[in-house]
Amino acid sequence: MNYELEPEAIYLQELAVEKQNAGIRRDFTQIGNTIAFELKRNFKKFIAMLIVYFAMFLLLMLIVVLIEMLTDTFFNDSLGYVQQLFSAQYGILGLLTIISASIFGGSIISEDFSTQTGNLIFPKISKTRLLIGRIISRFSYIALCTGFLYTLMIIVTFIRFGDVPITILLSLLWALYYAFAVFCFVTLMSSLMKNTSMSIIFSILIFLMIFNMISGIFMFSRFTDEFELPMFFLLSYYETIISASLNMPVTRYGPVLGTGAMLGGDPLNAWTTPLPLSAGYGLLIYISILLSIAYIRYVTRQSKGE
Amino acid sequence: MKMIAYLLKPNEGEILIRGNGELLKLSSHNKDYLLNNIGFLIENPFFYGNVTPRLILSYFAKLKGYPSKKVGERIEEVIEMFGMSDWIDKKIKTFSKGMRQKIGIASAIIHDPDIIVLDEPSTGLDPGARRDVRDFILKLKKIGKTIFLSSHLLYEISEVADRVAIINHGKLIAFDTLDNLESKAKKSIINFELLKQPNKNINEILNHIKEIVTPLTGVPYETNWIDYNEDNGVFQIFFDGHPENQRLILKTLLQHDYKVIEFSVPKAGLLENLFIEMTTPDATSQFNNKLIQKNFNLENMEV
Repeated sequence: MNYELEPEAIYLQELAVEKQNAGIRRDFTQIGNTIAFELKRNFKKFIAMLIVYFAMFLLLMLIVVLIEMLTDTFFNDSLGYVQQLFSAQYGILGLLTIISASIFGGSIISEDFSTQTGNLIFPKISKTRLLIGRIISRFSYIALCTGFLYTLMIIVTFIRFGDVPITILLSLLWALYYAFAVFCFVTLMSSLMKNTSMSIIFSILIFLMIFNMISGIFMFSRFTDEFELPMFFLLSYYETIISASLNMPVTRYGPVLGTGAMLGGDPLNAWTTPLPLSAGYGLLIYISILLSIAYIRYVTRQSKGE
Repeated sequence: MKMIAYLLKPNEGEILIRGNGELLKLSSHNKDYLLNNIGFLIENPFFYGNVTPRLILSYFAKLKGYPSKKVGERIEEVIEMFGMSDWIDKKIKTFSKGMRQKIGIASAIIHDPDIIVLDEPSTGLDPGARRDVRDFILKLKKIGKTIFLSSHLLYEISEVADRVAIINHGKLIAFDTLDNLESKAKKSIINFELLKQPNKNINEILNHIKEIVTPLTGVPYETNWIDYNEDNGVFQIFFDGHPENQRLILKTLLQHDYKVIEFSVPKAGLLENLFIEMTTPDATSQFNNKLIQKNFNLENMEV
């Protein structure tokens, strides 16, 4: 059949541009494009999170100052001061990590199905590349937030003591590693949950309540005391390495504060922090399992109405 | 449509797409390659609300391999084509359904594909937005794009489609141009209006018209019918769709001093009627499945 094109069509055909063909090179370009797009899309969230981090930092400073004033014990070295700032007993870093991971990761998978944005995006890019691009971009923001908090702490410590312990950089690396594991946990929740809100709520709920409850059950049933069972199966356990890494080796097994008074006897003993090597492998296993399940769930999940 | 876009995997059967001269089965390994030159709009599009159409279009164009340096130029072209310049830099979350649909179509063509797949592009839109979508489709058709459109709104189809496929319960039961469907189905309706609306003796007029045009309709006597709609003053004559019979009916009406001011065979109604006839398992219908199979040779048909 002889089809004659309209003059306008002929004009547009002459203007046709050379497009990048499908292949490995374009796969990488697509990941790069996704990273750039996601960074732009989440920029406002990032600014909001920086404000939250700053507010929490001020709160933390206030707590430390109050402790110093009330107990009349003042820190006389930078290491002790930094350790106090990062102390897991305040839970500030852990809380901020789960909040930022939920904010950036809650929508990473679920939104494409709940809002059906996947109908637009999936024919253009594979889920694998999309997920890689999103993980890189969103985790970059979490890493920047964490870096921002560390920068603030370094500045305050330096102003007060004139020096900063070099181990703070090691602690930062652990904080980033741990944050990535938490982010993977939220990614898994996002792949399982129906929508973004549920992913965020359940991630925070499981992290702050369920993990603590499990930890409490094991501790008060004396598993940790009699069998010296470390809580390596709980992701939140690895948070302790962030502050412990400031001054390794530390006493890793000992009495848990307050348990003696609660039970009316000797305090219960438990592992307070893992070894760096164990933490490294533990988090790696956690990340591998979480990401694998999230990925399988993502690629096999289909949009609603199928 | 979702299966063609590889959003859903088929339970049975396969999708074959011509790539580099040969028909290839669509799979996860070759979908990037085979779908490279196809733009998709699946149902009402949902976008990330906190971004602008410009950002989305730029991202989609780059994903499909459009050169980065020329993306800006291409976006301007599309903005001009779709008249989106007033709101291209506003956040999508404030947009109406019609505006989102425009961005949806723009995003399907932003990488300048040769084939565009539009799945129910007019569903849920107000009449104005529906007209806009129809105009866009006609524009795309004019510039030489092949458009694969699915819709339940048969009027929309009849306005833009060159060839129509009718699918019933997953089976293709007809595929041809509208004119061919009409002639093969041997069924059509003439609408006509008179200079003055008859306000009395309407039954007498109808009987008279029936008497003079029945021998010319080309359909069996018992299935002939003529109707009059008092609300809009339109007469309807059922006939076999043959252009010669159409001409003779008009000629006869004029010879009998009927002052005809409007005389047409609307395609929209035709398609709707055809669809109902073809998909209704009615033993008395002359368009039952056996006849359809006879009239439309669906084997050896290439879409």
